[in-house]
Amino acid sequence: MKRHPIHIILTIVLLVTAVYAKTGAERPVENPFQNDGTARAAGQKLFARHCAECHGQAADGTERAPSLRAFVRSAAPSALHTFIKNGNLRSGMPSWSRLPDPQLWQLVTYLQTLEP
Amino acid sequence: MISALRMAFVLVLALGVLAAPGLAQERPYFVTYDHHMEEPGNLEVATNPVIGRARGINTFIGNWTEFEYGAKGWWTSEFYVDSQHTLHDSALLTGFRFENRFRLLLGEHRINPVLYLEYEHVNGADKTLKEVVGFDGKEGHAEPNGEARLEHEREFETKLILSSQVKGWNVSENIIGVKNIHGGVWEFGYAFGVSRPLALAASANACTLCRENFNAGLELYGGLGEWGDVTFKGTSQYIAPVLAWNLPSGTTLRVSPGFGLTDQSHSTLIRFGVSHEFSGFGQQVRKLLRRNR
Repeated sequence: MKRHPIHIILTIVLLVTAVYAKTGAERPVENPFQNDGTARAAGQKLFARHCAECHGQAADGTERAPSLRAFVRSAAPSALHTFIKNGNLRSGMPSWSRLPDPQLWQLVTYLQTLEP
Repeated sequence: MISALRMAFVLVLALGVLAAPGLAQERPYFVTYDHHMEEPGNLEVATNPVIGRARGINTFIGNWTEFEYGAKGWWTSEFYVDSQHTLHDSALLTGFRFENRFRLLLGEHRINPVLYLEYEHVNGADKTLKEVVGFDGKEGHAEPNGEARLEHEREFETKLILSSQVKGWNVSENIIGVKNIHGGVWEFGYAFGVSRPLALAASANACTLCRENFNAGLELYGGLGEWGDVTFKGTSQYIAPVLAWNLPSGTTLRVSPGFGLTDQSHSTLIRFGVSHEFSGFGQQVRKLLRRNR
């Protein structure tokens, strides 16, 4: 029996979806760049590029978004990573899942060195 | 056409005065959408020319100019103006599109669905090939502009966007349905994209040419027939590598040479894109309005 090409395509799409949906569950909970000076500098560059327009160059807040200094140092690295990745779309904080995980961890490394 | 380009230039200059450049990371795709929304209050202005070549038709440059605004974290709105120039024929504006995208799940999931709704009013001379649906093919672009422009299409377009981030890779699938408001059947199409930055970790120094600023990938897109005749037979299909360069200034440059895979496809579709993001545009406009009250 000749299979319809749409069936084949749909099967491939479902298989690909299932494979990457499963691998998507893996996520490290430890910051791989903890206390890494180079990662801190990279995180500072990423902060200036993606976050400073709302949170301010010194992360002390603007009229668009609050200061980060009060809570980032004491927050668990994995919680900070999850928050940046997911954002809070209702309150206007965008999701930064478009940044690869290593860049998110570099941002966390930089943020956790900020003085309150 | 020239006056429209002049107007677009003046508008971009005015935007430059109104808002500061933003520095977001843009998707490399031309046809496929992923689940990443425009940041709230930011405006992205982009122009996306496509050069189409096929045996038996005049080479053309289609173009869409887009204004993408982040209304909310979960809602992005876009307005497009389409135009084209055909060799040995003429140049003309071909219509407009208004589109909204809504994220259906607020958090980040393994698969992130986005609903896309668009109204478009274009004429038959439109050659942007922003998506390929039904039995769209190169024959449709053989008609002279003077005749094709008389045919008006008011269409409603929907897309279900499914997108995931896995270990630095973005994998996106779009299922497309288009219906002419005045009649006809639903036409279907699809787009599939996969992309990844050339480096996952950022370098410590400011740089323009470093690998983290480049994003490379591949797009597959084409028609899937229409209601009652869902098929690949007689449809256009394309494969297109994509490359995006996110400059530190907030400008993104993109290029994608596309290749037709079926007899109905154009032999090549070469796409270029230039976009620039203006941060805090919404806030600046609100301030301006408050001052004038």
